[in-house]
Amino acid sequence: MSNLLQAFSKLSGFALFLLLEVICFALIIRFNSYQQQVALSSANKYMGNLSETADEFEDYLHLNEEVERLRAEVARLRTQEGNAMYRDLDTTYASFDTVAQHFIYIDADVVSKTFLGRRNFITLNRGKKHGVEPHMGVVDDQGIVGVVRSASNYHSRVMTIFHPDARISAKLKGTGLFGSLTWDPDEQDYFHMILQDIPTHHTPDIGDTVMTSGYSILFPPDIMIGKIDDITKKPGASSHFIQVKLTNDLRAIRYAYAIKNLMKNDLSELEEE
Amino acid sequence: MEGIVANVLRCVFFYLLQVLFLKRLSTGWEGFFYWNVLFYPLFILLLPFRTPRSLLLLIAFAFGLLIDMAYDSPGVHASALVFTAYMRDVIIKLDWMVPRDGYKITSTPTIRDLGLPWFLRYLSILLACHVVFYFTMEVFVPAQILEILQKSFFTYILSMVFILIYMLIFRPSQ
Repeated sequence: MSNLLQAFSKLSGFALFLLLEVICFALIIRFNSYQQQVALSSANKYMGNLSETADEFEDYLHLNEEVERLRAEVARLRTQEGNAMYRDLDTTYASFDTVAQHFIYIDADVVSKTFLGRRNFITLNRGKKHGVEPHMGVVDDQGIVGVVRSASNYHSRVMTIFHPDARISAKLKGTGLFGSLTWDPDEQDYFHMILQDIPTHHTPDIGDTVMTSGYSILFPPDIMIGKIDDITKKPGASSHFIQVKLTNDLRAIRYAYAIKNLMKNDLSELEEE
Repeated sequence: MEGIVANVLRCVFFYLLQVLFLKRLSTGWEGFFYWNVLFYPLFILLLPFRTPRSLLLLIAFAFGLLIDMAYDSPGVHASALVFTAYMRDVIIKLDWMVPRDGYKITSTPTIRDLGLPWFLRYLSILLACHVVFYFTMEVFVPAQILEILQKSFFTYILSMVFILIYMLIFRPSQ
């Protein structure tokens, strides 16, 4: 005991004061339920904030993974949508429906893109190994992108809609009217396309929605393309000249979905005959 | 030796006074008033100047814990009393507290040795330290500063009255 006292007396007054206060503080928190509660709840608050911040940071680290996972999810969900299905109505017997898969979405990263001249291509990091083949339509989450021109094992080259050869079959939503969508390479306008072949007996309004028609093997029906921006009627012509503002901005594109048409061979068989 | 005996007796007397009488007094008024007479710090205040600083702190700690046992609040009174004991050394060394010819080695911090004005300054500062520290520990939430100050104010006034009455009646010399 006297050794202990001696040890204490060797401490400076301030150090001893601090030591005793720390002991008191420990006693207060340990044995007083009210103060203990206060201490615990404030500790929880700060630790809670801290771990929340850490969680947020960790989320940020996993962001790429998460985006990839979500894209796979989007591809899966779009594959399940109605416009990716082929409805097989059997009329021979009783009326029972069977639904067959018609389109499959394959998600891909855009690994290179150039939007400069008349012929604009992008490259995707998915190829034959993943089921990507030439003559497949490509879309992104807001609109259409283009058509696969060639595919290697792991990559594919996509002719975008900003190409003089691109012709997309498009319809006016809510009408049966359809036409073909092209891009004017001389204008170099990356926000608009021209919808041709809409007959003049119907006058669409500005702001009407333009969607894929589903009449080509490239795209399922009812994929958003854009809205009508401007309509001109050339004298003597039998169709409108419609300018369509695209919903997506291809120059900012980072990922896309290639669309595999499972009934392509079925259709081409017809053409061969 | 005489001084030690006197202080031990005073320690016992103050302890019993605080625990048996003043504690009941304050609980009887709970809900109406914040007052809560803290008389026992006077024991630390009256210890002689020659008490070594570390011994002073340890006595304060032990005495505080004894009070806490009765109040069932381990550490709350002890922490305040340790703080008061530490501040006692700081206060008596302040320039305007030291008497013109310094402290005598044998003197005690009492009215008889150093006069009423000196003792009033000494008591008012240290009691304020004690009371505010005590209620800070009791309320324990710094954000409730208003409650701390309110409780401190009433307790301070009442404790001051009790201690001064004691000092003027008994005029302790050791």
